[in-house]
Amino acid sequence: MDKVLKKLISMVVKNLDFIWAYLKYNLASAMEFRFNFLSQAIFMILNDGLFLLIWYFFFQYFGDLNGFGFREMIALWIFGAGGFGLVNAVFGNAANLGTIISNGELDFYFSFPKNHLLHALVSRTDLSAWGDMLFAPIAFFLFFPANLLSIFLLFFGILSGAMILLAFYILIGSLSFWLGRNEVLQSSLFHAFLAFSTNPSSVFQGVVKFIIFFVIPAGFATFWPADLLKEFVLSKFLYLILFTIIFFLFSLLVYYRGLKRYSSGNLINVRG
Amino acid sequence: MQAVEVKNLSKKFEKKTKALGLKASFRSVFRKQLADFIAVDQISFQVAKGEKVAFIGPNGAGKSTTIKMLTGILHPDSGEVKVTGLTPWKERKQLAFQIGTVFGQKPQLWYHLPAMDTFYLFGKIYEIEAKKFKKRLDFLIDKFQVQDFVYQPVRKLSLGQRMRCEMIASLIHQPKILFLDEPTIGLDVVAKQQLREVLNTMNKEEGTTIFITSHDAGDLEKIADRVIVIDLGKIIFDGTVKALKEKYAAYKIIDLKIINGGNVKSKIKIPGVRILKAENYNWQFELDVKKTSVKAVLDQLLNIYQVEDIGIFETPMEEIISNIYAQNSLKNK
Repeated sequence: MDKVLKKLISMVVKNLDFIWAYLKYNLASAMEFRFNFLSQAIFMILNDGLFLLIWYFFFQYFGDLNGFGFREMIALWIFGAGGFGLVNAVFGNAANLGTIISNGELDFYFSFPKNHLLHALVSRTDLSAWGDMLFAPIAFFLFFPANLLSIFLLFFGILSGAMILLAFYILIGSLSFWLGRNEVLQSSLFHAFLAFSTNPSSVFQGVVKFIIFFVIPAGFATFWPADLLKEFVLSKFLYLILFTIIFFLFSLLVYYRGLKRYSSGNLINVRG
Repeated sequence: MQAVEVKNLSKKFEKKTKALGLKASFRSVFRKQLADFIAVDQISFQVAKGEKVAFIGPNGAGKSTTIKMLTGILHPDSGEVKVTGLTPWKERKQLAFQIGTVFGQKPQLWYHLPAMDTFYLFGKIYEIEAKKFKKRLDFLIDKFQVQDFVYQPVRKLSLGQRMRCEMIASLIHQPKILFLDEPTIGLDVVAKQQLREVLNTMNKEEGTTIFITSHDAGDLEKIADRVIVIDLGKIIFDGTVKALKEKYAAYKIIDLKIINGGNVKSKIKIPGVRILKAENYNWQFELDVKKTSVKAVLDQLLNIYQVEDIGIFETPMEEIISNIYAQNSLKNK
């Protein structure tokens, strides 16, 4: 048991080291074009802020929606932008997974002694995502009281939201194993996730509510972390952990099932 | 133990087929027509440790599919493969530590970063201990003579410089076998020469087994000890470069410069000899090596003429290779 645990810890440390190394070189590569990098990150922070401003005027004019007000909206955006930013900054190829599969580009990652899926995901960064990632703590410290529990819930919510979004990316990317090229479908599903996760949760009822929790699980990615930040409920916190783990493992199961259908390609590419 | 052992390896793919026209396209949206395409058909061969093997064939012959099965990228339908004693598709990660890959058309280097950064990243990927990594890197930088440009972003390097850096990235973990797919594609003569020299040096000094696919005849002649020719998924030749030439080199060219001119056409009558050029003092003959020998032709020429200079040229390798493909495709028609 001791040996297994040691091996597991060593594997986790090695993979974290690997992710960190890629993150550094991704950033270094982005820094080669400093203006591009900074402008994309800064404009994304402003873009997120602008959305909040629009919602501020909305709630000022129309009032709360079933108890959902501007403060709840900020929380939703903190976890939405934070989770999205974390995934796309660290696992920047997640959004391209479907294309990588349908173009047969997984070949490249198969020739290295690392998990090919992890390797594929971390080998790119999305520059604007760094702005989203930064927006989350800025909005949090501006609008929410900072204490040990709230800061913990901020990081926990971003992390669980990121894992759910990453799992969702893996699932929609895996569709390419069965459908081949299907960028439009993937893009529609992703935008549905984005729309559900950053709009007032109180307006969704009935079947739609079921869909946004169990089909396109945007509800778990932002609504629940936002709820927890408002009022910490232990059972909700534990259910969220459970759902995140199950959903993530499910996405891996689907991916590896699909991988059996993978056929490689002969495309010529250049690394960013 | 052999470096590579392949036994009855086969792989087929499903290919989408469609009749011509809009109607057929419309029908294919609802019902896919698939046909089996055999990419690799029951091939067997072995590569000894330290051997330099060229694996050649026309486009679509099955070269890349075979390499992909040898490196664990593709699962075969049937057959056995052992690479350094490992089954590639089952022990892919362990195998990755043992092999290096260079795909001429698929760069591994980061385009916007100096090659040095990619080397360091590869050091992490292959989990090489810092001191060992530094020593290895210094050795390779010296060997490939890349000191002057290794800190420049890759996008600013010439193709030759880039390829040398690609090689370093593939050799950083000291692989036992190096798989190269078209490594010299697009390189100029000097860069090709440098790359071939380094490959030969790595083979000699570190015993690296080399398995190379290429359309460049020079790669075969300057690197390989042995050639395996694959066409339509089957191996059609497996032997030394010399044996390949003996089997498929159809003719030789003799260039002759004589002192006393004359009418060569009336005097040379040997079966299998064709006159390509017959100027007063400069003649060129093509002789079919299956019908006559160089000696027979020279004996006759030297008997009649006072010769100032002779040049004997073999069939160019490009032509030998295209002869093989042509013969095989005729056989299969």
